[in-house]
Amino acid sequence: MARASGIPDLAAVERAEIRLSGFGGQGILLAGYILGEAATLFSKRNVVMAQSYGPESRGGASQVELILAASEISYPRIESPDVVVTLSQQAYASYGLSRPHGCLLLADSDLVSIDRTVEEGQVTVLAPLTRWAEERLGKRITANIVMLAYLCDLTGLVEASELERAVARSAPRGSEELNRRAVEIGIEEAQTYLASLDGDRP
Amino acid sequence: MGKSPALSGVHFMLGDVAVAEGAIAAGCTFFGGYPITPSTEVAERMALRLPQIGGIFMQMEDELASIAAVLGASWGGRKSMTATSGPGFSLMMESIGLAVMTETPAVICNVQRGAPSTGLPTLVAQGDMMQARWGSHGHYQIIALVPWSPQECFDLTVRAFNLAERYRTPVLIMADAEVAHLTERVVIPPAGEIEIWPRKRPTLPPGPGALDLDETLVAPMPAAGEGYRLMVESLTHDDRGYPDTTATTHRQLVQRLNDKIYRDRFALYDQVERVIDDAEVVVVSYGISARISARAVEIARARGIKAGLLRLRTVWPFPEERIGELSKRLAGFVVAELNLGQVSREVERVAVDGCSVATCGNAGGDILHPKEILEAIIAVDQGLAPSRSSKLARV
Repeated sequence: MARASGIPDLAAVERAEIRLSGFGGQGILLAGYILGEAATLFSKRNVVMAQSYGPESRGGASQVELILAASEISYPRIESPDVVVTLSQQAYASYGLSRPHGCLLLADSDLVSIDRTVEEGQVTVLAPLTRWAEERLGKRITANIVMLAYLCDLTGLVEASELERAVARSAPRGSEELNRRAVEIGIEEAQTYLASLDGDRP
Repeated sequence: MGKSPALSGVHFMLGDVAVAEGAIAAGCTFFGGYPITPSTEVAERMALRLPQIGGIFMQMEDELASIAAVLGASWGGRKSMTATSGPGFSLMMESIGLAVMTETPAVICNVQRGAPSTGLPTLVAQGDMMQARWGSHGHYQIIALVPWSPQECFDLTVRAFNLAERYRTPVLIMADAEVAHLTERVVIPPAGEIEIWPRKRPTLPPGPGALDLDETLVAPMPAAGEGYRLMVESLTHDDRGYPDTTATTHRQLVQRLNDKIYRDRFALYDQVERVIDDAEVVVVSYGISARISARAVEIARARGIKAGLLRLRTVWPFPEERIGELSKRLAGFVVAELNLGQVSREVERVAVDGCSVATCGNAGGDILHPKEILEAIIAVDQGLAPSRSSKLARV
């Protein structure tokens, strides 16, 4: 199943493999945790999350792998990702370039310049995720939540209400409203993007 | 009794955190430790949780002091634990023997990483399995449990505390860096449904007979300051704890320390078997390697190879009777573990002649791939692996 423009429909697939990557401090691990919690607690799927560990998570490259499945997940590593998110150039070089055919790349358009030749025929979505967080919410650090909401709306990974609940569980006291808005903006922007694709159709 | 501190409910939880929550649910109120990757999150979680429930978190100056503090707290009447990784586990070895000899309940979690020495701080291995069995000096029995998921990090930690109390002995949780750093669903049952085995306490007031052994070979354990005049002695001692360094007393004591556990081994064995009944090749594995073995067995079955999985949740004591019995009818075993052949030695020891035993492992640094285990299964199935009588072919 595919949505507009080859974006994979991950709402009801037996198994979905997701890699989120960037650099330490962007909230990549937290985003993975929130997505995993939403799928575990609210959409009742099996989820396993494995994170990179060590100095990498404190400034260098940072990445987290999630597998969402209806059945038992024995081997906990991603074999063929359905989605790769890259919020840094280094992450794109490490994980974006080598992704399999049909795998969605979601990249921050201000932080990543893609290789046009490699992306030819691939499913690529570029969005100024961090800029939206900065300009529309005044908080750059909410970019991870904007990204998550954008990704979930594009692919149907988890439903908006499920994501909202999981985000609320992880939001530090006093930041609930800010994080709720970040989800809203991510969804809004994804809707705008999907509508633009519909408009392109003959 | 106050409200149970167990975090009952469904969680998306890190393996290390689940170890800590298992300890809290089991009634642990003392953690003494020296944080070390990849076990640090156990200490971090305990530092957060213990003060909330009136427990004590004590960061010590090193692992020697950590294990000593844990044993002291146990004699103070608390259920106590520590968590560490290879380098710290090595330092704790002497006092693990002290716990065996003084019959002190304690739980030690070793989240295994690449070794020898400081090796690979952040990367996985399962190379401490024989150290777990024999790392302290002398002939003794040890209980070692191995989780394959965050859920089992919780469940087996509860069990570790129960066994430590029942047998008055140190119990090891031999986790690995991969399982400890997976985040998965963890269901913590309602407090009333979590089975807790209390410490065997004296029922008589201080005086003759109060601390006598019974048929369990485990004596009641008083806490320091309760008035029971008991020596806690690492030298060979009599039933009152008084040093008696004679061959006769020594043999009786060491025999009993071994017997109280080995005699009960069938209650301690805990393995999960999958598609074993018609299997011709059985993968024996534990921890993270067992998860990968499960996948390899699935693939093998899909290809028509009669493979099965025997997953150890208790590695020590080792289920020699079951493995021995299976060996009589199998083409062979594949032992999948992140070392160069440790538990596979046990499998070799108990397998009958003619049953081949192949080790599928590496020295650590990354987990096995299902394909590697599948290849080993195929080799055993086709009779290409060395049989037990020619096992010298192995590393």
